[in-house]
Amino acid sequence: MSFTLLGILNAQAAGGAALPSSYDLLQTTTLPSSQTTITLSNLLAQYGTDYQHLQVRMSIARPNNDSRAGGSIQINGSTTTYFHQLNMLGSSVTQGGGAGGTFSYAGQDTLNKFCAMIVDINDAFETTKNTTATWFNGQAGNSEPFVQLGSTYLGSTAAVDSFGITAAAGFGAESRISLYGLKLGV
Amino acid sequence: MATPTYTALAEVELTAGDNSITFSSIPNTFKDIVILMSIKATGACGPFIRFNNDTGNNYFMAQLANDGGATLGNTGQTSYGWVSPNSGVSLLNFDSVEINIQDYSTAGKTRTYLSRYDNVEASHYHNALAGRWASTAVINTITVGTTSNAFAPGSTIGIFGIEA
Repeated sequence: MSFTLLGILNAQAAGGAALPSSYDLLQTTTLPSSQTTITLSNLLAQYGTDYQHLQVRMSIARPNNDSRAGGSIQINGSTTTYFHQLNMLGSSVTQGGGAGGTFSYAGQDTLNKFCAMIVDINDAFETTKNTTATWFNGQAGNSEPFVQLGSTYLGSTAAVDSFGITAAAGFGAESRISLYGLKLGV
Repeated sequence: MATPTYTALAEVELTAGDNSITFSSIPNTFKDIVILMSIKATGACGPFIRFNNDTGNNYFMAQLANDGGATLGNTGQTSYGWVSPNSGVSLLNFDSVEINIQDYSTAGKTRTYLSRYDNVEASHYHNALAGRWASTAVINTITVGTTSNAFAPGSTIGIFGIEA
């Protein structure tokens, strides 16, 4: 069976009224050159009123080296975030946890390999819940292929105001981090 | 400025068994593609995806899976992109699948995707997989297929575009 997409399927094309979007692109950062930290800040003031959940979609690479390296997620700048993860590296499965919200990534700019990573932060702006987040990331066809499922716990009911990733090995040019907001009650 | 996105590009519900469903002329105006599937099979089969009709040995995968016993991991290189190499498609119930293809249209990047597959029968496999198509070509055609037998009637496949 084969389909050619002649246009974009949407509610209007199906004959119904267009529905308001509940999933919005909020901002995107694409690195022009390598750097060790990417931070999205001032989130509460910009998005706290309109959105319930946040999703961060990333395409990130370690510069000039396709072996695995470690990075960390920092919500509200915290370096004491608790985390747990299930890892597959090569054919070895491990688990880990502790403080720091660490994750793995790899890459090699010259071979155009990038790690895909998606982070979900539910109820990001609620102030009655300890903030939690989950992530799914991985990379294949590099020297250390891996898959990782992780979760992190901020240990604070503060609304999310910033989201950052940092790694000593750095993030190469063309690494991208995009933030999305999900609404409720539309 | 917020931009509404997660745009439906195509959705198909099979009315007859089929082992190869191809979506072509995918617009390059988005950054990511999400494929949502609810599938069952007419017989033992493994699900895969293929990009731009490339049948070369250009697809890599790394997988984390569990069937209730020991959690396993493996890697591989094949002529199609595995969705779930250690799990057949269920025969009686519909399995849930979500595939995220990051930067499918961005110049200078090979195409990495993340796949989650939950088999609800027999083996009860849960799969988390990272795949990579070793090409920097913009993806304009996606084929969802099986290694043998067919997806059963009632299976659905939806494709969505996400801006960035």
